[in-house]
Amino acid sequence: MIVALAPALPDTTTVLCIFFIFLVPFAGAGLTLINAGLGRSRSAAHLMMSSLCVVSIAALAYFICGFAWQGFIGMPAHVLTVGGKGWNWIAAGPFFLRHLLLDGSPASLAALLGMFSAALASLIPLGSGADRWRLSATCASTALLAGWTYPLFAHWVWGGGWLAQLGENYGLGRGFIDAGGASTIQVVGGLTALSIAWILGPRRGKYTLEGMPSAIPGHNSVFVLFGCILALVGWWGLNSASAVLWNGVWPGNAVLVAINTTLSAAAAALTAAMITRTRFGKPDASLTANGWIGGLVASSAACAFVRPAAAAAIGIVAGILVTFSVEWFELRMSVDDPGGAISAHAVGGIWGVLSVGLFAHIAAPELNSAGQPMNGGGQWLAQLVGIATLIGFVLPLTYGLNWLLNRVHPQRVAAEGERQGMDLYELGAGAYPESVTHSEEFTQR
Amino acid sequence: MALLASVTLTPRGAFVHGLSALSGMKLLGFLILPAGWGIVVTAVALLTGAPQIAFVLAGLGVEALGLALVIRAHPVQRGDQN
Repeated sequence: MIVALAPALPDTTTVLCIFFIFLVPFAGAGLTLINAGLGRSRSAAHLMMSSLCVVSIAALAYFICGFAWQGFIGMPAHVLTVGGKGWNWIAAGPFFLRHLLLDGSPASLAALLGMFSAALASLIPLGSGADRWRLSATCASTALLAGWTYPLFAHWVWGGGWLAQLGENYGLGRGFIDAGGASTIQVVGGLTALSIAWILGPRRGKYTLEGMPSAIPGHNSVFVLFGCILALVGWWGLNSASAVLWNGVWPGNAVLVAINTTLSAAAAALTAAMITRTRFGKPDASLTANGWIGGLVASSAACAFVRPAAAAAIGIVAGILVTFSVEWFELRMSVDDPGGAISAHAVGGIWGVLSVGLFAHIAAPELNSAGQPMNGGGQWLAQLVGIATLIGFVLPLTYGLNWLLNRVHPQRVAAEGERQGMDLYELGAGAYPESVTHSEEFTQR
Repeated sequence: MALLASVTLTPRGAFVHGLSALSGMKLLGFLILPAGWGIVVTAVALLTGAPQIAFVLAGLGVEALGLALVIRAHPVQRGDQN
């Protein structure tokens, strides 16, 4: 099915959109610093190097085939017809961005934003695989995520796919809505992070013989907290550009988007700080940072459709969820996630998607294109269908792909590499002068 | 420590059987997850009103069951098992 091609944007909107998109790499820089700071000092250079490679591989994979499969509204797509309704499941564009005019048209802006978004999603699993994920395996896993998993789900949500058409075809509100990528970028990246953590297993020395987790604190809180501020700038751009490009929001509403994004992150961080202050006597910097990122992630889905008070409420719930989720994954599930990526991105993102159904004020059209009445109250059901797709389809898909990759090319570094540190073992040089390296990290646990 | 000893003293065949049971449970969990998703998608395509809502929630429940199996199939880590 070919839907009407998106009309050209006014010049001012195009320029603003390009400006917003150019802010997105700050989110990647923020996540990279957070992941590096929460890891060990003897793996810091390796993580920064992995991040650079991940961004490079993601950009290339998205250029080669990612955009062809993600597509854009109005571009060719493969459609299954069920009961007279079209199920648009994957785009059918040409590879290598051929036939795409890179002139500021909506499709070209979508390609640019999609490239950065794929890179951002691919950076997320680095947080859960820190200190033990081989560089070559990281690159191969990134190619699968940026070249297949991310574009497929992004097509369903942003490329005129079947999730976006749930309103048009089945009267569920306006279809699945995710203004800023809480599901397409964050949950997809977070579920991949969970798969990687399961496949790699915990770091050596993380769990005692009795099954209790040992604390392996991050090596640089300054990186972590500065990364949070950088991520905020990136999220302003990400949420604003996505809202304008994918949801047709007027660019002036970027003010509302930025206020909502900031309030959600602030409320989540303060909630996490208060919870840890109450439970442990002092606020925990790493959990507060995870709360901040969880708030940013949760804000993404509904940022253009809620009032600021609702955004703050979304942030408070995100802060609570992320704080307890980090503990639950570590204590109950034996999942070693040094960067808190699973909790902040997967759990925070799922909450963000759900919050659209609970808080957003979206005017659904009264009639669909066939002239049938629309069910304006079905928005929450559309969001639930999206969550079911993430857990029931994306998780098995990304786990299966990484499991297969692990069979062909083992993803975990050898025990000697972990003991020596990823920097020396895989790169041959450390991140810091020897005097700065934390000597206690070399102690045999 | 006692648990480690019990694992070590377990006959090799039983230990291997335990591992394959865990793998089977993981596989089952990862098959149940898309089955739950299938229920959700089918409900959206074929039903309307209250039955549609009920079956979407049922599909989510099936997914929760699959997720629980997958979680249980990844054993609690004790010491350096990797």
